[in-house]
Order: sequence, then structure tokens, then C-alpha cells
Amino acid sequence: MKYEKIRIIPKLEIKNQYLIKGIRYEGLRKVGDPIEVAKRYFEEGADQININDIVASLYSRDNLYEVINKITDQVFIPVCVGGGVKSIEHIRELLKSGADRVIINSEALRNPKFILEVSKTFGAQFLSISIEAKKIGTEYYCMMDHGRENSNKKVVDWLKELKNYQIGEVIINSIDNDGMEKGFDWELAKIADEAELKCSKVISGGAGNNIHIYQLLNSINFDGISLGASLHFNKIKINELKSYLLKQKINVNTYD
Amino acid sequence: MIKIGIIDLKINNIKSINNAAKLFGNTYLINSLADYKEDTNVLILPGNGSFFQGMKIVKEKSYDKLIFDFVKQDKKLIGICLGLQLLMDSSEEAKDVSGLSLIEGSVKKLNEKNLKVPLLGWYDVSFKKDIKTQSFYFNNGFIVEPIKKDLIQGSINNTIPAYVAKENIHGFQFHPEKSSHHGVKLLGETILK
Repeated sequence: MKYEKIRIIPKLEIKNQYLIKGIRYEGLRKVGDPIEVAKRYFEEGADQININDIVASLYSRDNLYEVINKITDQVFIPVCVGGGVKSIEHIRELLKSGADRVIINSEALRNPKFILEVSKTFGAQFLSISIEAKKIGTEYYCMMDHGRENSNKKVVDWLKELKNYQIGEVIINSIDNDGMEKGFDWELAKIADEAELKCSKVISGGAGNNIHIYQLLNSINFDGISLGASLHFNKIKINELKSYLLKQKINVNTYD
Repeated sequence: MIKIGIIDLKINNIKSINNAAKLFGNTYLINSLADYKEDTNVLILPGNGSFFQGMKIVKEKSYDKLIFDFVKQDKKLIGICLGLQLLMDSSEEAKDVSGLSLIEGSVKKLNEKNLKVPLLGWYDVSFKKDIKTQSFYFNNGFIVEPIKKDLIQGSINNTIPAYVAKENIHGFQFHPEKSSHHGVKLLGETILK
């Protein structure tokens, strides 16, 4: 038996001080106040909150720190932050704001030594690697800078490389299914599964209802499910999702 | 009002532990020995990350002496995650580095068929007494192994130590401050007990 509970992880994409959501990483629109929304998801039984600063430029950093500060004042579950994380100094600033772990995508692809540097300083458990996958032709590629640039590295190859590093988890995002609410990208999910990672793996992109999530978990062992649009637009309620999954004998955490 | 000192090792999120602890007393951060206040009732040694880095800072800043003196006065010390591991004799993570030796035993790399390593997420912890079995948030690749097994007051599946208590010393392998309302409540009960 697996002891670990499958985590339900709201994913908050933030631009300046706003919670935003797009479809396939485009057509971004404001959907709320990230601080209020994070608090609500915490009270509804989320196991962790992931925050992605999608502007990730220097001038907007102070906004991000302030948002994280306010969220972590009220939310007593792990808060993980990504988006343009490039240096140890930068990570220390995030820690000061109350972030528990960091999520890195682009910089890990550009400079894999950074992975070693981060895990040496903060421990392997501290680091999540995010993969932003986009299908081009018949292959999935790792995209950078919130989907704007192709690293030209295939997801299957990057997953293989990542097995050489000490990391806490891999979050695999489908750009093609993002915001569509039509279900997960199963082909991508299988690629992630077949990589046989030793660390945790989380899937993100496409869930639109409870059944999508159950069907995936029933067939592939993911350690976490990351949800964006379906939560923001009230298609899924975390407490209802968890009760439903428990009834289906999926090992999720419920709180009193 | 209870006075709670929190040692900042500069390698992990200190804000959340402060947020949780301040619900139960007056907290302040310790960034050097000079910050320590004599009338402190509870000392918290948090942490997350490498044993080597953690002990390095403890030694450089002479927090070891502060901790030993504090415990000698029969005051309450709470170690969290790496903070608990530092209380042991040694760790497989850094073989040349000694721990604080407040609890006899070592820190071992997790090697358990049914577990992902590092632990990253929520696991049910069952306790020896008075505390209900509930899920808590873990984030660690190593685990403590006290020599005296009766010090283990809570565990995952009765095999992996999660809460260790020895007289006035309490150590959580999980993060109570990040384990929702019930985690914060457990931290509070430990502070006030």
C-alpha cells in the first residue's frame, strides 16, 4: 500500500497582483484576487498551493513577494512558488516571503547546473521541476518562458536526464490542454509515467470535472493533481472532489 | 504570555513557523546569540534541508551553546524537520559532521519500498497517546532513528518516526505549521503543554 496521500493542488497564475487564467497559455484574463482565492482553497481542503508568476520580470518582483507574504499569513499549507526563478538570492527572497519550496522550469533547461546548486543549498526536497509540454508534430517538447520559447528538448529526454538529479518532484503541464477543461493529456501522462521517476510526479492541465481526475488516478499513479481553470470557474470544488475520490477508494487527505 | 524564541538558520521558510507560533505566545526571531532573551520559555529550532548546512550555521553562530544552556534550565525545546534531525548524534547525510547529541541516535536516508523519496506530501501519523491519527505534511529525504524506541511518540505506519519526545525536548519530523488547522493546533498544544 502507498502511504502517501494524493495531493490536490490549486495552481494560481499571477500577473502583477492579479490572479489570471488563459487557455493554452494565451488570452490571459483576470479572474480574481490571488490572496482571497488562496485562502478559500485552503479552507476548502487544498493540500498545497502552487503559484506561478507568469510575468517573471524584475520590475514585478516586489508585487510577487507582497502577494506571497499576504497568502502565507493566512494559509497553513505548503506554498510553492515558480516563475523566472534564476538565482539563490532570488530563492532567499521567496523564502523570506513565506514560500516553502520553489518550482523551476526555464532556468533548469538553460542551465541544469542550477538544479545542483539549489538542491545542495536547500536540499533535494525543496525543489520541484516544472515541465511545460507542447506537442509539435508527433513529439512533446519542453517549452520555456511560459510557453513562449521552445527549448528544443523533448519531454521524454528531459525526464530521463532529470533522473540523474536529486529533486523533490516533477510537475508535468500540458500546454495543449491548459484551460480547456476537457480532460488530461493522456499521452503526456503516460510519457511521465513510463519515465519511472523516483521522486513524486504531479500532472497539470485540462481537468474539467471530478471524473476526469478519477479516471486518470485509477489508471496512472500520480502523486498530485494540479488544478487551475476548473477551480477558478467553479467546475470543481475541492471538498466535493475529495469526498468523491475517497468513495472511489483513492487515497486523498480530508481535514476535519 | 509565553515567550517563544525561533532560531533562524537562513535555509528555510521561517515566516510560517513564526505565523503559527505567534498564535500561542510572543515570538521573536534569533539571528545571533545577542538576540536571545533570558526570559524565553520555549525555543524552536526549525529547519528544512541539509544537515551539513544546518550544523554549519549552528556552529558558526554558537547556537549549540545556547540550546544546551536552554535545555539545562528545563525549558522546552521544539525541533521541526531538520531541527529535529540536528538534535541527534549524527547523520548519513554528512558523515563528518556531529549533531547536537540531545537525543541518542542517528539520521538515516529513507529507504522504504512504499515511499517516494524524498517524502513530499501528506502522511497519516498515529500517536502513542492523546493525539488523533491525522495527516501531516512531510518534506524530507532523511529520517531520525532514536536508539531508545520509547522516545518515538508518533510514526507513519508504526515504522517511520514522526514525533519524538524526551523530557522537555520535542521533535516533529513533519511540519505542523504547514499541516492545516490541526497541525497548528498540535504545535500550540506542544508549546503550551
